[in-house]
Amino acid sequence: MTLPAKPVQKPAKLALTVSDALGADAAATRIGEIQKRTLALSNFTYLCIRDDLRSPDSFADICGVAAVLWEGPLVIESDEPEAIAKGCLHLVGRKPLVHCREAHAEASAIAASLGCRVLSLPGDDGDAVDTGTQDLSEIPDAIHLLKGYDPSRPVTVHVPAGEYGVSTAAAAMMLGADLIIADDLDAASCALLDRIATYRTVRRWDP
Amino acid sequence: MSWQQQDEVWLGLGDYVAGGSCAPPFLKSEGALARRPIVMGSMDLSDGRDAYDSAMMWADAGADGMMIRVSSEEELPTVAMIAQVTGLPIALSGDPAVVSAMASAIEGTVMILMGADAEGHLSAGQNGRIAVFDGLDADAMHAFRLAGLKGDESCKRPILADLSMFPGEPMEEAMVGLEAMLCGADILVMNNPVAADMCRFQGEELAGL
Repeated sequence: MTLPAKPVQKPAKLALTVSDALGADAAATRIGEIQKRTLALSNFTYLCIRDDLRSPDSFADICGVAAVLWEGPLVIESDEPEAIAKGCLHLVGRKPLVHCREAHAEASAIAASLGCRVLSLPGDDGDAVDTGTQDLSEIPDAIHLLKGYDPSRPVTVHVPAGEYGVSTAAAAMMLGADLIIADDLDAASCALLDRIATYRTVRRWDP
Repeated sequence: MSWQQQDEVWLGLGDYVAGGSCAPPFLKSEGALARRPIVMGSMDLSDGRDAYDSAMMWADAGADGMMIRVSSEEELPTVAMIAQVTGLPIALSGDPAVVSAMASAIEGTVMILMGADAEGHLSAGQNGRIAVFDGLDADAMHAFRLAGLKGDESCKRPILADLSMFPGEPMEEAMVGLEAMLCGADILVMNNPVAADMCRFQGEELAGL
């Protein structure tokens, strides 16, 4: 990276995820590992709770664990309205971001009614935009179009684990994404992305 | 305002093309081509390694070509061998007189000549047909490509981002290469095969290939 002399005013923020498939005990261990891994990294402030089981009760349990163990902001990621509703009940006062991978009006409405900010898909009027999780080729277009028309609009990107997740996350940050959710990253990758987030230069292509 | 198409050049046996962009990098919504940057690996013929092995290593790693650092005209047979065996585009770097002399003796492939000139090949440098930037100077690359897209004739040349001397870890190098691609680089010269592979993959993904 070509690092500027000082940190940018608005660095990107990053999150690692914990899956409800782990169960409560393993999720607590996982959250502890994430805390340890990101302790010195100023931009890894978020924790994302993933609904992989599609079981509202299991999801709510992990939300409860996260509410106790994680002091920073939270993202809950589910397309199930019932899971979102039950999860939010464990997060009263925390105002989590709700990340719906698929546009789901009912889920969005429930989350909004509970005071949460909803991250929705392009075309919706949510607070943020998910540009997709798998198809990297969508990232430049989606971010450029959204930021081009409204630079203040938050953009969230979810990337897979591993080294290609790192470069996807880096590309998204360089293009102006505001919140990056990564399934998992090792300590070195976290440190690298944290540095990119802190010093990134977002270059615009205005005609 | 519409973007202006940039110059394109054909390399190697005529089967590789660089440049030609007609929109900011990878923005298909604005008419970007489904074309990724060319990724070259760097070699130094005086580093003591077997040149054939090094060339095949880059070819096996999926590099599109090699930038070969030369120091003497006596290395001509080695360069010719690499060009023939791999069939990939080659860039030559080193003393301009040596590069020019060597290029004049090699036919059948179009090479990039760093800081030098020879008939039938492509000069690269300040006034060459290919603009060369230090891979770390992303701001300059971005400004150059933006000016070219806006119609500045002097900035329409393909951009070569040189990372051949990058000192950092492969992942760091890959990030710099990625940034160069996002700033409009058309050719990347990489130091580490792992970083080169990641940049090639990223280029394909971003270009939708």
